[in-house]
Amino acid sequence: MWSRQHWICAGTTALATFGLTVALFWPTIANAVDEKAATTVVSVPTLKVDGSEITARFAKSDLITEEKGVRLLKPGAIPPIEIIAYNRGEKEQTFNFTATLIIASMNDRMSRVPRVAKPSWEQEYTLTLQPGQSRTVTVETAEKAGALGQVTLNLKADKQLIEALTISTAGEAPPAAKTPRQVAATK
Amino acid sequence: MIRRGPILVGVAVGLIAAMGVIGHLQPMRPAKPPSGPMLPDYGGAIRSAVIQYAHGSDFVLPVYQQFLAQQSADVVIYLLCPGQPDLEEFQHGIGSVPCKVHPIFTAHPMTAWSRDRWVALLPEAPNRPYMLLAPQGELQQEIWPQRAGDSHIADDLSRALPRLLTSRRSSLYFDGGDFLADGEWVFATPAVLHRNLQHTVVTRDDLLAALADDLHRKPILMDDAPDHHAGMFMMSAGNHRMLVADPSLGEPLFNSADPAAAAFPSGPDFSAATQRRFDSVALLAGKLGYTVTRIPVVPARDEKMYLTYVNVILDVRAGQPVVYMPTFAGQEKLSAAATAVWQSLGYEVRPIDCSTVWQKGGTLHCLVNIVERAEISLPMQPNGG
Repeated sequence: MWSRQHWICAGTTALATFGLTVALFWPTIANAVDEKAATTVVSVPTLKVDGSEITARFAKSDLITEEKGVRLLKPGAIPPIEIIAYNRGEKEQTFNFTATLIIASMNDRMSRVPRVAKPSWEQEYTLTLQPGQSRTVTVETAEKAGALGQVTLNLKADKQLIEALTISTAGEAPPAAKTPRQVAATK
Repeated sequence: MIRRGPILVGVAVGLIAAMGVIGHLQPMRPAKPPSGPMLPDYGGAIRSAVIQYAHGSDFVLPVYQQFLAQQSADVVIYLLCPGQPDLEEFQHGIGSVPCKVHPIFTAHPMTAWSRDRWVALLPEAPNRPYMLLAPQGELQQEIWPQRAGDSHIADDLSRALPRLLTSRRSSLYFDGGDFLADGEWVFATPAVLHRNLQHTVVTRDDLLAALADDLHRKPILMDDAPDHHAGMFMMSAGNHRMLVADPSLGEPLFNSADPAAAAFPSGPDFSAATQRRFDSVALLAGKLGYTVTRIPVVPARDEKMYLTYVNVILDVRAGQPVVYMPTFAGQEKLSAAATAVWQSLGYEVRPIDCSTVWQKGGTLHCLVNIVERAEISLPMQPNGG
């Protein structure tokens, strides 16, 4: 049976061992935390203009499917896009921004890069909002998105530009295209 | 006098408690494995490189054949391919080559563009493995099976070659071709900013910090650069010299009568706006202290197709700086002018006909990703530099 002295000795030894061991390994733990401090995952891409925030989202639509956390757009019509501006400041504010819709298509499945993404629609906005006020602008476009492409909405103010919304379109991959010389060789 | 028992029990309890705390904290923030800076394009002799081949990519075989035929027996080429039929197709197309070709089967689809899959980081100490840094994900991998397969290439390599390579996934989105490392700098294309700002990082400064942390070089974001990978419009020639492509030099030499020129869907792009983008890169390099040399290029108006002479592989053979430079059939005047530029910088030019691949958005540099170079110093500096 242990006396009080035994328990004190065991406790002190346990504390000292714990402290020394954690102190010995602490630099590794601390450095690992610091190394990742610079990057942050952003849940909703947001354009920030003088205390105001602008975001974009697709209006609810059957054209967008979601499977295992991956959202895809059915080829064809592009659902309405809602651009939401919110004045987080303490005074009335007028700000300007540009929204650009870009539709890119796949070159072929073995190409290095998708085709050059061309702006298919662009609009400048000027909104005046009271403190705490938000406003939603709904954009509808007649543009169509082809299979295996990508639809992107860029928001720009001053020199800031963000890809506010990006979604790929579903579909079957086209076969690798033959180069002109390959075509010539088979003739 | 206290016996040993309580002390041993105390040590055991203390160790168990400490391991519990450390074990709880460590998995939350795994320590990043150590590595050196990004491997530059300009440096010593090539020791090993990675290429990819999959059925449906036969357009790359003539390029591989020409490049591999010029590699000596001490160079190892790691060939990734989905399986045996792809390897046999490759071997049939390439024939016998002097260098060692080490096949690695991946059992998944892929493209042939090895450059964009990862960047090599130098070992943190001699005889340690090189680090392959892969992006968080590939563009459109959710709908593009070949791109989804490409996202596993760095891990495939490190699993197959554990003594030579290890791999790590960055928190950032990029293509390997978005970067060009030279000296203390790493140049990054506008796509890196657009794909990450407000997605993986909050601000531009956060991105710069993350790039410096990942690549161990000072990042330079080229805001106004052409919308393509860096190796399509610039290349370091060593000794603070930078080659930057110039459409105005390409325009008078471009042979629009060549049938291959018809591959440009809406013709070449010699517009003032495009010229400004190339010039902005030259201006930036000049501000950083580089001696800038311009070299002809023909960019496309509608596609990411360039007839470019900076998408090269640099090497050193028997003390002589060598450049494997893309050429394009029917564009002999352009190729001759580009050859003269590289020669003026002290390089022996070894042409690689890239007529079968340029329409796909890349050429030689995009297909061959260098893993190892001999010591990063040249026995003879090109042009006496």
